[in-house]
Amino acid sequence: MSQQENVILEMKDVKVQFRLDEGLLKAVDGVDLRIKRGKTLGIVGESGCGKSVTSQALLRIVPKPGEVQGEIRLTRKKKDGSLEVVDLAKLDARGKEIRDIRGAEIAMIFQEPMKAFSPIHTIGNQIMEAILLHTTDDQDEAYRIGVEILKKVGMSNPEQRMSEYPHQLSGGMRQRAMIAMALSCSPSILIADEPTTALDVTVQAQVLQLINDLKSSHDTSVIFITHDLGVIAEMSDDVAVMYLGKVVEYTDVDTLFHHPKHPYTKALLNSIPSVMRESKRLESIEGTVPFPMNLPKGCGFYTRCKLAKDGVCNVEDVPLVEVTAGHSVRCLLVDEV
Amino acid sequence: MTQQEFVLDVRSMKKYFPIKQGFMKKTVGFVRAVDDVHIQIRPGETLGLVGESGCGKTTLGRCVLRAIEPTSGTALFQDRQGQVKDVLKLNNHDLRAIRRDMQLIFQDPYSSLNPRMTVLNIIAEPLICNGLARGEALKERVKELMEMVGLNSRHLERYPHAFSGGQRQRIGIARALATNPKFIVCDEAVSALDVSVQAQIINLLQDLQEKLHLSYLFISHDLGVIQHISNRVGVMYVGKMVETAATKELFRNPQHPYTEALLSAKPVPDPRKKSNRIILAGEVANPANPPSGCYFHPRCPYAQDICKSQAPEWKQVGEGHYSACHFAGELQLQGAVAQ
Repeated sequence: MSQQENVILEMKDVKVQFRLDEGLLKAVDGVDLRIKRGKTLGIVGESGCGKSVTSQALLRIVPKPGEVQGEIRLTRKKKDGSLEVVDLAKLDARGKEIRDIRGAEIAMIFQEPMKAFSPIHTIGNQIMEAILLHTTDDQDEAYRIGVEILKKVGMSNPEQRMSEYPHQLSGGMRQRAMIAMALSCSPSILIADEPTTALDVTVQAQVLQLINDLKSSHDTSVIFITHDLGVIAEMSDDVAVMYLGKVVEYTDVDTLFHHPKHPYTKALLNSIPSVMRESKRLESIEGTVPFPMNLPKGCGFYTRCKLAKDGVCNVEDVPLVEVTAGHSVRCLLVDEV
Repeated sequence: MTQQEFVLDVRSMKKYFPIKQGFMKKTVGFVRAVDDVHIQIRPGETLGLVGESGCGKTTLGRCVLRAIEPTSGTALFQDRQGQVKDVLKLNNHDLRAIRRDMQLIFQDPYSSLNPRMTVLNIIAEPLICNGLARGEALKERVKELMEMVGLNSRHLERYPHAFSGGQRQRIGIARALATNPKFIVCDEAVSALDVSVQAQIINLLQDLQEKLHLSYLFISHDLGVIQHISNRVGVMYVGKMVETAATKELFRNPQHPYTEALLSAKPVPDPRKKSNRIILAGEVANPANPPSGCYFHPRCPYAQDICKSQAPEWKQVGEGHYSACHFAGELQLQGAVAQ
């Protein structure tokens, strides 16, 4: 099936658990996702829903004592052109294989460019480090690629920027440098973890446009993680809504915003004050997200859901069910909603 | 219009922070954080203040309360006896008295509450400072305040760490309401919260406004929130107010290119509305060394020669609609149209 070939990364029942003194913390609890070639998958959810940990699991950079379980199947091209499938979850997190993939196959843009860059190395050195690791051994060649990529992300005076330190750049410029670094080895998947949250709206608009342009010119797949539904609508082809470590709804972006099925998605959409909608009162979700430790059985949203039924929703864990082609919902009452 | 119409009438507010350099700390320049700003707030009204980081919106909010000392200007405030006083001319004693009527809600519910104080002590502090209640009456008042903001009054003896972000923000709101103020500055009061919790707090603020007839100066960088909560909106850019108008008017019929760009830059939560967005080049100007003429001209798509040399005047372009642009009223700018 051509559909299958286009899937570049597939996550099956991925779990990330932290064994803490207080108990077992299930940060990611059985996530199934597919990332298609050249498309953007948006992951949206509130803080603590496991969206960042999911992306860390892909790169196997989950902080200790986190453990990754399940299957993460990455399809990649070998040097001779044939395709091979690697299960990232089975790799040694500190081994050579995963280090070849990090940066080269899957690259990441972090939320805070100031924290993600080393303050004591120049932008040029940091970009060249990745290139020297993955693409070439030649310093001059690496420098040339570095300048090229900085130019591509719209930095003025790329040669000068190469010898500047991160603190000399403004927030938007730093994020551009970050994107340049991520793209320097032409990865097939780019993970963007809240890349614009720390930026002002006018600068955010610039960065979002840049990511979209580069995505189409490089044919890169993007995993876009954010809590901002506006940005999701702007950027994504498919969207996964996460709540308490689980995907509660997974569909294409148009269906999500116009025919959402899960009560959480609906409530979330109704709770954003929007420029386009004038209403007197916002619909809010009662309570707050529970702490993901020692959770009771049943639907994670049970305690806050307006439609929750005692004896139905709080009995067994709710499976993610495909209601129509390409639209999966984790809700027992989906037919009644 | 007479002065009595406004709870707060701010004229020509300026706050220049000196830049000091060298051994003798010689002043070499000024950061014009707030530069000649006028705002008026009517009783029971919310004035939204929107702008990007570094535009001076927080500084303006603090200057109004005299939490920091403004460089010059007047801020006429009507206190609970109906007397109009200039906040900036009051001595310490009178300032203390008038501060009962004006309060501040902070952005970060984590750093704005003392972790070593119980909720009771936190909310009671303004009451004790102002000598408003003691003993049993104090406790009763705190309980009443907690219920008013939707907290369980049995949690009186708990410490802030036992509460979630949304609940902490409620504690901050209860503390601000303790002295029965008339006017509250909400400085990014919902920005640190998740959307579902943000909606709860916005609703709470609106309910309280109706019940207690409060006036808000609501500072935020989020246009969606501003549009939802405000009656009128002021847009700031590099220390200057560039446009004020009634909310609907501002969003439908912006008269300043910066407002237009802000409106169009905001991502809309609807994939069918992929906007023909105006993307501004460059970033916000440095308020220590602003561009000549109109501060916005290096980024403005409509800039002409006059914008480079001459600062625009603050002029009226419609009923209650002011804009600081040479071409206000002449440009056809696109707004964000409501469905």
